[in-house]
Amino acid sequence: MSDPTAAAEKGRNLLAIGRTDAALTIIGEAIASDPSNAPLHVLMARAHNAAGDADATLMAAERALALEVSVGALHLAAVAHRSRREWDRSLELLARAIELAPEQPNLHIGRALTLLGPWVAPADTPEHEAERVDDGCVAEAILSADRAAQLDPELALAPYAHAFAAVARYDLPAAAAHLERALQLDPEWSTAHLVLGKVRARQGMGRLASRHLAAAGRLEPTDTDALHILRRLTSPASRRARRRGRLDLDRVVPEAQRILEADIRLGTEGHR
Amino acid sequence: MQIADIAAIVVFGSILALPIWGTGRLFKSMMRRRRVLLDRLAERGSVHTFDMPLTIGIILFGAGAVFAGFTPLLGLIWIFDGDAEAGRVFLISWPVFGFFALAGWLAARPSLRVWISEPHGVTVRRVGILHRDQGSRRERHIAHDTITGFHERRSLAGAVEIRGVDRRLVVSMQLTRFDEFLSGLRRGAPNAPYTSWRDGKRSRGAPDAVGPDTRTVFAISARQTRVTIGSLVALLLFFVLWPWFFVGGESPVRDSFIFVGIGVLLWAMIAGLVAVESFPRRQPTVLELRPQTLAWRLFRTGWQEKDLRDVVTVTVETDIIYVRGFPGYRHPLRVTFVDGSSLEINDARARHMRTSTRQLGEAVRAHVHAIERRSNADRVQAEALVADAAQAQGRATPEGDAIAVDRLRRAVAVHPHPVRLARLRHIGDLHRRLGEHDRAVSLYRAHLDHAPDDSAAWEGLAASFRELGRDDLAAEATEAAERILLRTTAGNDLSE
Repeated sequence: MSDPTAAAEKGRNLLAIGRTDAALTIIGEAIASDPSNAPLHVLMARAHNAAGDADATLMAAERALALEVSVGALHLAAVAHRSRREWDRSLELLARAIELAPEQPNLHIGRALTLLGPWVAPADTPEHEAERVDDGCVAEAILSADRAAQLDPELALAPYAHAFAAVARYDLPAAAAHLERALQLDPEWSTAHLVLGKVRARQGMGRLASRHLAAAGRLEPTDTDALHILRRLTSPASRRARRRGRLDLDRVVPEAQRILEADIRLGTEGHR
Repeated sequence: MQIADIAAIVVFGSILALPIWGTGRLFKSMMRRRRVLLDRLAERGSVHTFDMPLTIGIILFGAGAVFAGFTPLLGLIWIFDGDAEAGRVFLISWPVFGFFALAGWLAARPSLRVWISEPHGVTVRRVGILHRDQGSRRERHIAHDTITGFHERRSLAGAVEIRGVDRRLVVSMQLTRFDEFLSGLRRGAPNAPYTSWRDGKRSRGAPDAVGPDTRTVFAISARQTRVTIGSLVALLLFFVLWPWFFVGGESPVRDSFIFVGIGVLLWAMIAGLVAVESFPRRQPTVLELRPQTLAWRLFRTGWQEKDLRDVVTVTVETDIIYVRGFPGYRHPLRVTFVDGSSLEINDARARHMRTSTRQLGEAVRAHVHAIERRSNADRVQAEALVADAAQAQGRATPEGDAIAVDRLRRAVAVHPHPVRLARLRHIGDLHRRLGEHDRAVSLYRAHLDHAPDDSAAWEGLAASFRELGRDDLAAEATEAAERILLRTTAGNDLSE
């Protein structure tokens, strides 16, 4: 493709509709024709980030930064470092980005989520198990989330980040309140429903938890987390019922019962 | 052991185990139906009932079933051996089982009433022992605007009669979250007077007379007289009966008197010891509401006095105590001050004062929260304290939270305006975050007195109770929060 601007526009549109592979190809071709175009590298980093490739995102963002320091490149590099659990480096880049554009709420949310890194992305490898979030980090994260909420009161991510800070403090009522606020702003957000369902289950509110988990399952049917927790919520108390695999469906709301019954039917058919 | 012996053991074991197993199944099924029914009724409002009588009823029924389980064996002996005695026992045992079943049903009756506190009134619904939903045929309703008064009834467990224009309903004080239930009713019918069976007997300090400038005294009475009379009787028995034992010859009548007397003496000594040991010395014997202060006197100590501007919360709490494994509710009154100290009066002490903690709480609350007595300077000071608190809390650190708590507590105490009282939940949240859960509980309770439908306060209360190790109270608070949340529009929007 000869015109990098048109290629960038096309790549952006492809990213917006979720066709990441096509976007990567188009942007790659555009970069090959104009390797010194920093915005194209930023776009490439965005595409890699959408594809979930942290290393490639970081590489593209660093190339963009080598050509020109921009808020977008700094943010994407910080996100990539966060995915690689390099919290300090991510915070450093975010601080630079916030210095350049203090009014961008996404940067403050990114900072809050990075400060709460080990909570937002729990460790899955032994070398990261010792990671802890101290009270100072949580306080800083709350301030960042509040700042983002001040800048854009309609942004659902701000109370979501605040909710994670509350969870890190073992303050479940506050976490639930902030997640409810996030869902008021974006009622169709399946992740928030899932997290709120987990929080409600931890609080001992099984029926309310099942309602949120059912909503999460309805909005994101491919995510099996909600169904897994629902099954745990309905696991029977008696050993005999457990052995027979019977679920106590009375413990959950009707919409969750329907989901579980459908799952049981599908499971039975699968066995046959 | 022969095969016949083993068979006999198996038969007897089955006969004993089957009724127990059957009763357990019945109880489980009944409780499941009950939970479903209560959940359905909770859509109309706050549901209140209590399960303990049902449990007792089922235990009684189970005891009868175990007894009746043996009767078929006797019937078989009667039929095949022709043993008339076995036949007689067989025939008698069925009325005995019927008696147990009837006793179980009577014991379970309080659980078969469900109270629903609705936005415009209160409904009591009788549910059958099998908890089948029979619609609204078995309901009685009193609208808030038809309530003419509330009257405390004298009964073992305590009860309150709700008097309406055309009907009366009696509700037990043992109901779960009874305080919330009664507060909701009293908010709905603010002009309906609340009277106690003790009102006619009260010698001093009627709560109805409480006003901003009235001096009101609540004092314990009669206890000293009773203790004195009891001591004199015990001394008399000791000095008269003991020498009589050595006088004269054989006398069976005298010996009987002496033994009965010694029994009474021992009983009086034990009762006296229990009374003295159980007398709470840290609770006031006299509580006086003075125009600008709250004063009280402890057992054998001088007067203590606190300025009304030092009082943060006045709450009647709900506590569960267990006696031989069975839960019972207590409602102590707790007054907390800005310096962190508190004053507690429990149900027994309130009874000594010829009142109840609820009436005492209302009197103290009305006295403390009377805004007319506060000056403009108090209002200005409270506003400055609130501003200080906001600044301190902006730091989002424990130190900032501690400063904010101190400022907000003082702001509420100095000028208890309704707007400022609405901050009680916020102060409770801060206390909880600082790990001061006992203080947080008082604040949440005080907030729920004003706003019983605030689910966040119930959640905070549950979290604090859990931290304090009171899982029973935490479960009740969690249930209240969940029912409110399931009822709210936000929750219903989630259903498909």
